[in-house]
Amino acid sequence: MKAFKVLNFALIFYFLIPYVIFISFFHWQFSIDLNEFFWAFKNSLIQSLSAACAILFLAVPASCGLFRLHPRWQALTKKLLLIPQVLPSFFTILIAFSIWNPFPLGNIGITFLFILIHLGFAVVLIQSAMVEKLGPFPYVAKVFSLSRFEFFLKIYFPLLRADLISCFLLIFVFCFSSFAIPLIAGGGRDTNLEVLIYEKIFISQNWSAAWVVSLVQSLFLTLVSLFLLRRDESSKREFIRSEFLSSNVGLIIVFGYLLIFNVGYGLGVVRALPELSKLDSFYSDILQATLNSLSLLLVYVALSCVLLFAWLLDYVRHQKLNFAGHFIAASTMLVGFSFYLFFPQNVRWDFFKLPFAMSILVFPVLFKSFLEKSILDLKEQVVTAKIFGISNLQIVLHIIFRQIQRNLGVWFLFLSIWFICDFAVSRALGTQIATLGLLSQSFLSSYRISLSYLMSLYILVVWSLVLLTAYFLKGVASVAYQKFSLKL
Amino acid sequence: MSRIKNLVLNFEDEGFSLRVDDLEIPDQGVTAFWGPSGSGKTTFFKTLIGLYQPENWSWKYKNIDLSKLSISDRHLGVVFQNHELFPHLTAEENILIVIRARYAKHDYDQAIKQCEFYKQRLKLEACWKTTAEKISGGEKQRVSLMRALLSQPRILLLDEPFSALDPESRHEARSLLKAVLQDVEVPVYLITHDRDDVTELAQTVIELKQGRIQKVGLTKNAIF
Repeated sequence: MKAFKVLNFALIFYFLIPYVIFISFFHWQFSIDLNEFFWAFKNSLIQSLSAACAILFLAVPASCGLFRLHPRWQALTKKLLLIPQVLPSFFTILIAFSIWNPFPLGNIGITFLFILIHLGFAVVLIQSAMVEKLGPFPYVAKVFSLSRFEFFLKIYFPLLRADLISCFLLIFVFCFSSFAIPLIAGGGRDTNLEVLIYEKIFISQNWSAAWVVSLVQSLFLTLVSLFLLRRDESSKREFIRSEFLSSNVGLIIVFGYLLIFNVGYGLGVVRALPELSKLDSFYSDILQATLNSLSLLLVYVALSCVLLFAWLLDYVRHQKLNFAGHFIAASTMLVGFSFYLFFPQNVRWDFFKLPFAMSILVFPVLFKSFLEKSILDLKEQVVTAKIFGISNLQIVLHIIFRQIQRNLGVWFLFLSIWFICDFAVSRALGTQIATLGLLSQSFLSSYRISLSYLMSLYILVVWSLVLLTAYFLKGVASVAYQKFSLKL
Repeated sequence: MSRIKNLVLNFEDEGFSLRVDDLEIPDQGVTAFWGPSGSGKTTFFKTLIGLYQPENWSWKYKNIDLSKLSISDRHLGVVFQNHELFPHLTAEENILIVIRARYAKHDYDQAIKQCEFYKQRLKLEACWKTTAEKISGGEKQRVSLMRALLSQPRILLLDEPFSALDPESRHEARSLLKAVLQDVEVPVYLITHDRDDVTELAQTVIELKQGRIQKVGLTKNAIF
């Protein structure tokens, strides 16, 4: 049983490694320019607050707009709405740059990009909270002839207050800790804290200033995240649709948003296709980047699988999810900076550093988004299995894995695309290895938008091939599994 | 006799407490824990299977204090109210996974013999290769019973075993259970609110009311 205590601690420690490195290197040298710090902090606040406010303002009516749709279309629309959130930010940047030309770099541009990325997610989140918390009350309010204004004032907002605040804070934290968007769309003006840390490390080599800024930012994010954990958990009531929750304006917002995102991308690709021949001169770079990205992905997937297996064993043993699951808002720069300080700077180490950093930054979020709920739904089965003395390993293999196969597929889907498209973590780590994400970003930074679009299309093709290979390997694995399946 | 002492659980938010100061339960036959809703039967059951862990209580059975053991080590066979079969596994796999957990490898032959015996006795041939989510309520109940019987239990716990069945199937299932339990050598604890369950299956009845033991006696002498 001691082994499981070690495992539990090791998992928490794994996600704290950047902080431990950070603290061990830390020494107070207050050589920071306070004006510069407050200016960056103010920009971070402006970008995050304005994005969170705008998103909430649009998401409330848009979530009502979803109720105008037939349940089947509603389910499909919700999936489409989540695409901008789950696709790497590189795609959103491309779309924004092509629909708003010239793109307003700085606070306005960054805020617009944040809205584009997170609005769909917020709509789905609020709509789910409505179904869960409002239950029959919209219908009851209609029966008792309340006006729509009264319904929203007296019933909707009081019942959904905690969820709306939660949604606001979640978006705020996502935006505040974002590095990729401000790096591309900040444009030298309106630098935020993450970019300031990046500049202190890699441009002015002022590490002590970077330490202080990282520390303040991490403390601030932790403080905000703590509020996020205090979400109230009221019981579910059966939801009954009502006219109060149907909004035409909301539906227009939803479709407008989907149109901008999906059609925007399609048009961008079509416009870029005639310039395909320009990629010829980058043939060897692309080939090298592809090989590197695939090798790195292999290490990353292996690491994530080990982590997931350990995570589930720990869950089955203690029957609660590891505390490290709360580390969903780790700062990209803090992780990158710690590893930059700690590990040697060469391509060989990059093969370890990048997957390691990505797993710390992405694993908790991916787990929370795609696996947590379905695993918690199996709680009673886990208890039953334990009563009958089934070992933790057997529970993970035969009871959990076999029932979450679909979720694991989706988990892998996003894990792989996020990794292949990454450029922000690579930049934060100061890696020297060429990857597809970095190559695409270099086109984007030099305003070769067409080439970026073509690269994004190429990435989607590579990704599809990765998925096909994974699907084939899954078939092989399930044949192998039969050998170890439940036979005496 | 197994003996439960100092079992105290307080649920202040719900204004309910369960208190069993000293209770002796026969080592053989079926003992029913009977009481209306809210009497504390479920809390008592959950404590026995290890979901609640009161402080300083003891549950001695054959000189072993089960209260000090982990959920798995208590070695109980349980039939849950909602069966709690693993829905993605076939009836066969639901049984095999427990046999693999509870039997030593050299006892597998014996386990397979028993498995064949109960499969026929409980009429499970038709659903044997079907996943649990697709079989009928009655079949689920019988697979659940078979799983508990084949788990080499110290004690067999049946939590409202017929409550998920319709009245007609309930009668049939009760008769089948009664016949099967006659061959069972371990003590059986039956948690139920149904008087028919008590009169037809149990030799001893322990009545619970508002979290306290009201009466302990032989079923034939009990007046409901």
